[in-house]
Amino acid sequence: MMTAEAQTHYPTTDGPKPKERFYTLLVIVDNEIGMMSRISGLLSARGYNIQTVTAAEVNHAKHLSRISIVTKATPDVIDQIVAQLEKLIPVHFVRNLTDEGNAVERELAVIKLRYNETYKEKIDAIAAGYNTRILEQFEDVIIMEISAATARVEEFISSVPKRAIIDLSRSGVVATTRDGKAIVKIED
Amino acid sequence: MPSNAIKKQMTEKKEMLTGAQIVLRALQDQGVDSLFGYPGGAVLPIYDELFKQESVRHILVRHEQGAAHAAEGYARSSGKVGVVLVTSGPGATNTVTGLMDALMDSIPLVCITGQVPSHLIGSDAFQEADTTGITRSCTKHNFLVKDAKDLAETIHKAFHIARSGRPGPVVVDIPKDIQFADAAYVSPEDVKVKTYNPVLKGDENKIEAAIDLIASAKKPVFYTGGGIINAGPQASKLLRAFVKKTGAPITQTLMGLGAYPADDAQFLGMLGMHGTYEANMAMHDCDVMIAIGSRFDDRVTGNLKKFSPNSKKIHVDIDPSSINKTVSVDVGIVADATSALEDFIKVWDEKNVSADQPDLSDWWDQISKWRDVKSLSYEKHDTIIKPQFAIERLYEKTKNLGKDVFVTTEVGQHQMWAAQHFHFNNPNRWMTSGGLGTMGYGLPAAIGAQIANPGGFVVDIAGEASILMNIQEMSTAIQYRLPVKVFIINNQWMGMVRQWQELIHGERYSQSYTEALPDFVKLAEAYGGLGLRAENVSQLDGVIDQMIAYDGPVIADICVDAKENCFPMIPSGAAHCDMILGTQSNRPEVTKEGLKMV
Ligand SMILES: Cc1ncc(C[n+]2csc(CCOP(=O)(O)OP(=O)(O)O)c2C)c(N)n1
Ligand SMILES: [Mg+2]
Repeated sequence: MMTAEAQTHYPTTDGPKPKERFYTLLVIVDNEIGMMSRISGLLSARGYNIQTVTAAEVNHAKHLSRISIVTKATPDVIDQIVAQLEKLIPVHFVRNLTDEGNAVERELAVIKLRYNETYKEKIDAIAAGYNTRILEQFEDVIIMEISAATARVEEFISSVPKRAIIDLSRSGVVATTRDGKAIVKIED
Repeated sequence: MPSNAIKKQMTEKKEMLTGAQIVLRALQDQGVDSLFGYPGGAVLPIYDELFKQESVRHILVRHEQGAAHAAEGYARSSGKVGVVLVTSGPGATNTVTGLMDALMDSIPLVCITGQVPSHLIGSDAFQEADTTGITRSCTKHNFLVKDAKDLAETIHKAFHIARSGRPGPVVVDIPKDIQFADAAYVSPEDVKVKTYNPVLKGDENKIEAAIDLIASAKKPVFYTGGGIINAGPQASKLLRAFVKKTGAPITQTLMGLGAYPADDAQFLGMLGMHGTYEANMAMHDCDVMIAIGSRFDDRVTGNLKKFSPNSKKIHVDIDPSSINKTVSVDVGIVADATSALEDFIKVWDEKNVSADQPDLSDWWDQISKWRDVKSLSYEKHDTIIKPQFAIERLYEKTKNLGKDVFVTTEVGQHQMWAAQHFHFNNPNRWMTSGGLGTMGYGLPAAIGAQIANPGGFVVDIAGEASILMNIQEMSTAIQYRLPVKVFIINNQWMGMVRQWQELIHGERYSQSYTEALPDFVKLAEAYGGLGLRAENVSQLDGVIDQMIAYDGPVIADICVDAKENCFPMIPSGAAHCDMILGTQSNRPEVTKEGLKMV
């Protein structure tokens, strides 16, 4: 028999806290006015803990957008988030890639660095160990991109000397599944 | 981009109408006979079209909040979609409370709002408000119509979304230029909402699992809610049949009252914060809980950690997000209540469960002990009118009227006393603001119910504080000769606030006494209605009789015991099994956590 504690999703102060982890969700949605505000409004109104949200139209003919959301939640709360998102009328479906267990995830970071005598060598050495690309280089500035799983991106950023970083921009996570299937058709 | 339906229409018929004409045509095709509204600059073209036709009746309210609640009363008492028509800016913002109320209580509404012309949107134009932005979180869905070609389709979609699945309010915001523009009309049959197809039929395996659980239960209880009402009268019939088959007790939420007859022996009364002792104890002690169309609201569950600790739980709901939201269940079934109940009965009969079901007589013995507590009892008085007594008399005097009786309420103690002491034996007869708890709901809702049921007897059981929040709607009742009755349980206090201050805040009555109340009798007369007053027990029956006999709007000012408290009560943060009863002299222990609850 379940204990009373185990039955509630939002235990107040006492009782064991259910384990939180990161989940990657894909939301396929009609790209109509106010769509992003519907999604972000829902997530904030219900107090969900959102790490990244990225969105872009992937089927121009049908105006379908694909939104990738990374959120920290317990298993119960993630089910609730999925159910709430699916309740939105323009949402076609939601996929929980983390639960499905076959997510391929990438994040892009564009980083502007001081590339002078102090840092040059260090940066070169670190960048060689990651999947980085030089976008621009002028005077003693270098702009690089890195595309990798979020953890790798984090690792790269934290290994670059702090004082070398002038500017940092990150895309948030985009994802697909490690199989031969489409999440959503991109043509017709 | 025009949809295929529109393209087809344009090539086949090319029937061009103005946007305003499209609105009226769409309403007619949706079977709308009445709507509730208030005109203004941004909807004048639609009002012009209303003027030219007779099939859609416009009820002119006195405040747009009133229009929204009236549409709710209309919807809940008729099973149809309630329709609201208001202007841009303040007209739209005034509907917000009503929209939120409808969202919380799952009431189907379509609210058409005028908007400034398209080219002025975003310029802070006169009476511009970001209506779709403002109403995004208080509607099931909303639309801003950007092209007249999409207008007909959008309105039909709005009706479909409002009434299907878990019903709710939908806003259609129509800029004024779109109301003048010409476009082709599209019929409802040609419109589909691709991404919205609620599941109606429950999963077979889960239905079986549910029946197996119920079949083995020694202490089952049904806990049903507003979802049964929303599913339509057939769901109530099936619920009755199924509850009878199982022989189990049933309790209903505030929103569910009437779906199962209050006078039936298996009914335990309402559950929750002011529910009966037997209902809450049965919930706490049951071994199998059968929740249908109810959502484990905090007013119902009390302290979640102590909620029904030893039961297996079955939950049927049309809204997948309601299942496992606050309480984990063992069998969650996404389905319409009618369909699920049909399936339950079918499987129950197929398996011939009744033949070898456990004996429930110990459970019923226990329940009758709880019933003996008589948790709804109160001390009667020879002269002072007790509020519960006033409602009992109202019930006694209206139950054999030979008319359908519809009760609406405001919010507060009177609302809970009405739920406890007025017996509802049929669905769609009881309209109250459950989820949002909106003072000012009752009078406009009564007007809506009376419009939908011209032959019915409609009474708003009100508090003297709440009624003042939408009292202007008396003027609407007079204009349309709607014989609605306002039965004010006048305790001169915001009684429910006063009760919490007495019990939880050391009897410090901060701002809960209304120093200057109007003379409600004169107020009724000022509007053109009948005003009555009962100051003591000997006058009560006479006033109720006069109120019933008068063929027009009445305000009956029932002066009741000012300090009566509403019991039983689960203090906030406490469990079902920790109720305070009216007969107890002790005060509730409210925990620190409980204090923070509302
Ligand atoms: C619009 C709104 N404002 C405030 C409240 C908080 N509130 C709940 S009950 C209540 C008092 C209601 O007083 P009255 O209408 O006289 O009813 P009584 O409790 O005395 O029966 C108040 C202020 C509310 N529910 N709705
Ligand atoms: Mg009062």
